[in-house]
Amino acid sequence: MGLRERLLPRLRSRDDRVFFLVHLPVPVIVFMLLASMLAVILYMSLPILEREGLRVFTSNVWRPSDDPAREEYGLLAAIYGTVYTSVIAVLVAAPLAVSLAVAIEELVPRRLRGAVEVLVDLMAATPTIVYGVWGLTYLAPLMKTVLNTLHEHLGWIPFFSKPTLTGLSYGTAGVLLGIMVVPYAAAVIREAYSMIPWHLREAVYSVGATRLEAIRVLLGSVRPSIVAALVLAMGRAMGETVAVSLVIGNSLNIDVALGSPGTTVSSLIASKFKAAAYYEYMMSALFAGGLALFLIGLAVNTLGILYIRRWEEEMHGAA
Amino acid sequence: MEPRDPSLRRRRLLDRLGLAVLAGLAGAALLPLLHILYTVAVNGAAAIARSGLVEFLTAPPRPLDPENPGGIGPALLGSLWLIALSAAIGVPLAVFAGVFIAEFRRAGLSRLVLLLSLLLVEFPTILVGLYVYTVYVLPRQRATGGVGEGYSLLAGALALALVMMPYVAVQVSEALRGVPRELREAAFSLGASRLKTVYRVLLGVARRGILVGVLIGLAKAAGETAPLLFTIGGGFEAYPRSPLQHGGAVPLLIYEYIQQAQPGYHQLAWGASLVLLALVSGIMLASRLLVRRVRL
Repeated sequence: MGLRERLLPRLRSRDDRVFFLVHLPVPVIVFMLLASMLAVILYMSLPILEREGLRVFTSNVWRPSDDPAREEYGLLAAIYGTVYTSVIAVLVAAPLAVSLAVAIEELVPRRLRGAVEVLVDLMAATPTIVYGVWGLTYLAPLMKTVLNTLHEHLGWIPFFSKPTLTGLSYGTAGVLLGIMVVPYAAAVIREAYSMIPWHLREAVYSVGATRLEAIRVLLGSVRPSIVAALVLAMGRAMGETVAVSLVIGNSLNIDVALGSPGTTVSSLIASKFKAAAYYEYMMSALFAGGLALFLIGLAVNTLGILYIRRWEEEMHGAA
Repeated sequence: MEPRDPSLRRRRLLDRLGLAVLAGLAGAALLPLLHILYTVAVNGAAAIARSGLVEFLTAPPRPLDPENPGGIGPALLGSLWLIALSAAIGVPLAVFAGVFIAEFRRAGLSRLVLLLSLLLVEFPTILVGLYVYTVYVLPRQRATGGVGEGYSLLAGALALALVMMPYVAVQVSEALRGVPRELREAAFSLGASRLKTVYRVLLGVARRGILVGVLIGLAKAAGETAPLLFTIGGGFEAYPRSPLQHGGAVPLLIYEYIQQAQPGYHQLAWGASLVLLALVSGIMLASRLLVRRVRL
């Protein structure tokens, strides 16, 4: 079968051809949109790329200057912060999301299930800025106590090697992101878990498994979906802007200590954008950050979506 | 009966312990949300009570006036403009795209569009903001001259439409997939063209599912902050007179005010958070009621 037959639908009549032609703008617009998004971000980051080359991604410096010849920008701290906070987020979200999904399917009584579902929906719908306000007002002080206590007693562990003055830190940002992505990850895991065929459940229980043992076996059978859910959650965490920028402390700092302040690509863009218009190269550097975010996010999300697709096809193939 | 077999007893103990941990973690996952709902309700209600609900929803902010803190009127009007405009731009295009995805679902082209739409759903919204800034705000800025020009509510609505469209398109295609084949055949047998069949009959049958997708898309758009940072230009004191002018929005007001030092700003931000949360969760609950009615 040729590429053309595989790409285009089979059009049996004139009516079908008219219908297809009317809708032809859809794929055209979608392709153009994605292509132009990438082109715009690439085009806007060209000045800084021409000036500094890949050093803009591998150095950690932020030196605006009225004299364009002295300007220098490096995004390493922001890229590091984006990856670091989203890894923390996934580590926080993974046990919570898996437990939430399984609890809704297995433990919550049928009468209460609707109420819990509403809460999970609400969790996903709550605007990220509201998470940010809450994080700044309540989570940051709590994390300050927790991180400083950990520093006092376990300070020899690199993650706890620094105390925090304000609570605005990598650790707080990562935990807040983790809380925020739980409903998305839980939804994907739950869908897969509810699709497990009955005969598998019956088989597990028929050999005398306890409920916990059964849950472990059943979770094992949806492992690809769990991986995909966490990858999607990570993509979300990396793209998040306002909530993170409120609690991360916004300083160009590369550190594994959870108590030290840092930044991410998106919060760097959010916080420097207004000033950027007054300098020659800063705006371009921010777009280069956008480019980095795009590429990391694209890679992570493509992996996640492909993983889900493959799993769905396998499930349907088996059924 | 207590089992004799010690390994069985151990397994039962582990079972109870494991299920307790599981339930505890699930509860812990919901705990932040409950605390957020509680604190937003308490702090927000206290802030709104200082000016009265009507005043809070309509008056401009006076964050430094402890007697009369005013409200979020201009930002709320800006948000309503943004929601209405982004829906007017995004929903028709999303339905169009959803029909394409659903009707040609076997063709590679349509699957590719679905895959790209799913990618766009996960696209960082701040990049959508940067995109609209470059292709729409910047040219207008260069035409009028001067930094700070060119921002408009329309630019923000374009960004929000881009955020919402891929999601709504996927939802529309899912809703159309659920329409029974017989209805399509019945329409064809009456001599209707495929266009008429899909747009007059199938969309009507799937309207609840489509409405749910549209509502959730709107709720997402209403709560977004990042795409507005570089597009609408802000300004929370003056009522926007036209969507072609710069303006504020509730999420942006919260973001800027919570970063100020004086407590007057914080109170307005909390009140605005309550308004925003009520708006978004109201839309969500409405869509949930619709879903339930479909299942019945």
